[in-house]
Amino acid sequence: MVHQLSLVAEIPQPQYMLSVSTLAAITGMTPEDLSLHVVLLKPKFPFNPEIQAGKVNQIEQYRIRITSSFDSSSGTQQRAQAQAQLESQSIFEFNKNSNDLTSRKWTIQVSEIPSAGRRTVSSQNIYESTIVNTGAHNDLIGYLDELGYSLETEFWIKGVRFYHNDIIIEIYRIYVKSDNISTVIVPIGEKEQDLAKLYKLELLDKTGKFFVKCFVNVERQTGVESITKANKQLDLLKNELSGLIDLEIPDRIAMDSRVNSKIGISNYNISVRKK
Amino acid sequence: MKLNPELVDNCHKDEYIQEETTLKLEQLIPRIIQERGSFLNITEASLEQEISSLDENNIEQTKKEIDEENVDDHTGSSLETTNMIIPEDDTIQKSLDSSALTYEEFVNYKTEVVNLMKSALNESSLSLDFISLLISCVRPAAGSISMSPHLKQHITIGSLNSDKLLEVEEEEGSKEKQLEKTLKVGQGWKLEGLETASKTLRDSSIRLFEEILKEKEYWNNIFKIVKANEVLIKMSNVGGSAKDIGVKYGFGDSGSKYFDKGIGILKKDFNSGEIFFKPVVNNNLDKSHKIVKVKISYKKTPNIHGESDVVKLFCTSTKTDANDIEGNRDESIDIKIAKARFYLFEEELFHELIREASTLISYQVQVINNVITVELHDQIIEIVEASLPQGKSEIDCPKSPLDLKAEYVSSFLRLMLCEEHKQNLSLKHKAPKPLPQQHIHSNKDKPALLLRPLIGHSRHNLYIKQMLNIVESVIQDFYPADSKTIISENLDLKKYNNVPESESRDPFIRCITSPNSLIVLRDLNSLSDDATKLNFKINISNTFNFVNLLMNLKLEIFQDNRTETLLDVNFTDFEAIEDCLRWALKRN
Repeated sequence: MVHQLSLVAEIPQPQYMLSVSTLAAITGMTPEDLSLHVVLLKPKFPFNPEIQAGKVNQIEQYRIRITSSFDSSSGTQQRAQAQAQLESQSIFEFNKNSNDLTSRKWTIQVSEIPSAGRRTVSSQNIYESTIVNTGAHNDLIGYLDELGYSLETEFWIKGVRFYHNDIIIEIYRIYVKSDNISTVIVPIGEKEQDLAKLYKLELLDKTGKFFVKCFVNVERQTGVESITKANKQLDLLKNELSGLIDLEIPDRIAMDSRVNSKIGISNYNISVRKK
Repeated sequence: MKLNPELVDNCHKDEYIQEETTLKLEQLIPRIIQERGSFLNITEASLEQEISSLDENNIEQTKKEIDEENVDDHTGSSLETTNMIIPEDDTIQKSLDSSALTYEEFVNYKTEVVNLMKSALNESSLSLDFISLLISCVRPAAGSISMSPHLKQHITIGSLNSDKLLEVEEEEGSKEKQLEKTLKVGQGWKLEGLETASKTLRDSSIRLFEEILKEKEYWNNIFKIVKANEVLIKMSNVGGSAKDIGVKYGFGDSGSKYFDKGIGILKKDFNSGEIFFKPVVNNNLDKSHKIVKVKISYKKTPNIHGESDVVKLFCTSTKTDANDIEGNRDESIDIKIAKARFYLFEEELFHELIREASTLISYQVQVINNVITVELHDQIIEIVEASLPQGKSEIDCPKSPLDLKAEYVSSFLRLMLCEEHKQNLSLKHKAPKPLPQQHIHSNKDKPALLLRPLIGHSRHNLYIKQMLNIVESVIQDFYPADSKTIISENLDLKKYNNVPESESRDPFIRCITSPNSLIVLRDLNSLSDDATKLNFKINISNTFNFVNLLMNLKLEIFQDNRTETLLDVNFTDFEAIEDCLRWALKRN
């Protein structure tokens, strides 16, 4: 479990190359590839606790976010960024015996809403764990089902990552399944029956803007020294990048992963498919 | 006497009598002062009185005229005349108004008067100041009282004097000469003034030119530095406020963690414009430039030793000719920077060596008086800090094998320091862990890996030799007949056991991994039972600090198509392992 202090920004597509080279110069490293397949899970059964006096009554259900890296073997970094097209398997359709999607290492993450109040950085508690053994089920979906969660949405993240002292800087774009383009069926794995349906992906934000997230993980929320150190580092980074990338605090309501959260539900394209 | 009738005609304009109304204000005012006295005596009441009396006069005059008219036209009652008079009052007023000034005109005249008064005041005060300045030369008190404070502030009292020039009586013709003389004086002064002005301008242009040359020199040098691929940084001047250009000649950016960051400020020499750079040091250490030098000698012959060549190292690193290693002020700035960088590296190297050597005291490494002494089994390696030898050095004297070995050791140490820097850099590029970061093996405290590979690997080779000797003697004791064949066929030595196959050819990787070798004695016929075969696997390794010895003996017995491990023991002593080997062979 970590406490994460973060700042976000957005940059338009023409500014991407400049930002990447600036960050490469500041951090002194070549950008690390960041390709994530993210799936959001929703609890299957509603939880209505009995309201008892004297006990903590604010118990809420949270969504779970599972992520895994996917292999984005589409040429060099620059070209991959230039093309807004990707192909990937969807979580909703998979072959139980296929060894790609469900054999990847998935990381499970639950995050709280960031702390309120006037702050210089957004600070949030995040709980994370990697699924190593799915127990009785030999696939991920069964395991999650037993946990009591069903698949809600999926999206893909593609970008780059930099490390600067204790700060992790991520620049990426979000891709979703494209509706109109037809899918491709490719064989994966050794057996002939192992076919996977690949969907073409398209950008969620058609303008092609990139999302920048800079964060520092701190072990405990109560560690004052660590928190001040992290704050100072983020401030320094903000000053250094000001003008090119304007880092600011994200809207805390938008980072609420609770089931009853007020994030614009009408904007979500929820397509839950029954297994 | 005849009177010209035209003169008394109303239309005649007498040039000597000026009409009051056509007089200009400047001429009008003196006349008024003459007639009425000073303006000081005018009061508002008197003016009003005058105006009202003037009005009455006008009204009476017009009344008279109207009366005459009325008498002519109407011989009637006084009522009518009074009636007549009343409306006539309006016309009287109107006629009065037309002869009076409009309001705007009045205001204009007023401002004109005020301005003239102001200028008159200014002129009078200027003349007052002039006179008082003149007087102050003779009578300072009188002068200073009447001088204006502004003049007193700016001009010292008594600085203006006047004197009477007596006119020399001369002939008529000398008037022109005198005129010429005065003209000449004026011209002389003008000429002097022009000369001073031209001289000042010329001097400043010369000065500017020199300044430009200095600046050009400075910027040429900076350009030279940039061309030499140095890193220039903008630094804020500690003392002043201007921003200076500094050069980063140290290795901080390539992973060094040395406290001296190697930053120098490029300053301009005041007189010549030449550039020189001054290293920024945090503490006031007096830096004497030293180079790390390696000396090797055999324990048997301590007087004969081989040395690493510092002059060659210096010359190749800083691209200077061997003949003028003294260094002079004329050498270009990039060479100076290269030299500074070289000395900084040497300083850091020695610093890290001392730090590491102090952890290796139990392995025959000593640090006494800034000399590191390493004892390998038959050689002694000394690492010292030496300065460049003064005077000409013999560059091309033949190198003894010991000299060569010393050179190799010296190069090896430098390579290992570079590798250390590279490791530090790669650590920076790993994902940061959540704060607070606990450095389990804190990088600050862990010394660089410089001497340990050297000592560790040479010791390891010794151990291998020793082990092989033991095994061979054991085989000779137990299998006297075919010992030679056994030694040649069944005995295997595999070095660098812990290096993965893909990298095992790389000498560098072999160097930086802790040594680990495997001696295998295969398919020995059991002395008691011919059917069984014995396999001995002896693993010699050094522990993580490269220098400690750890041996592992494994005995496998192959019996009835099964492999069974009979022994798996760790040893740190050769006698013990020998005993165990003999016992195992005896028993089996």
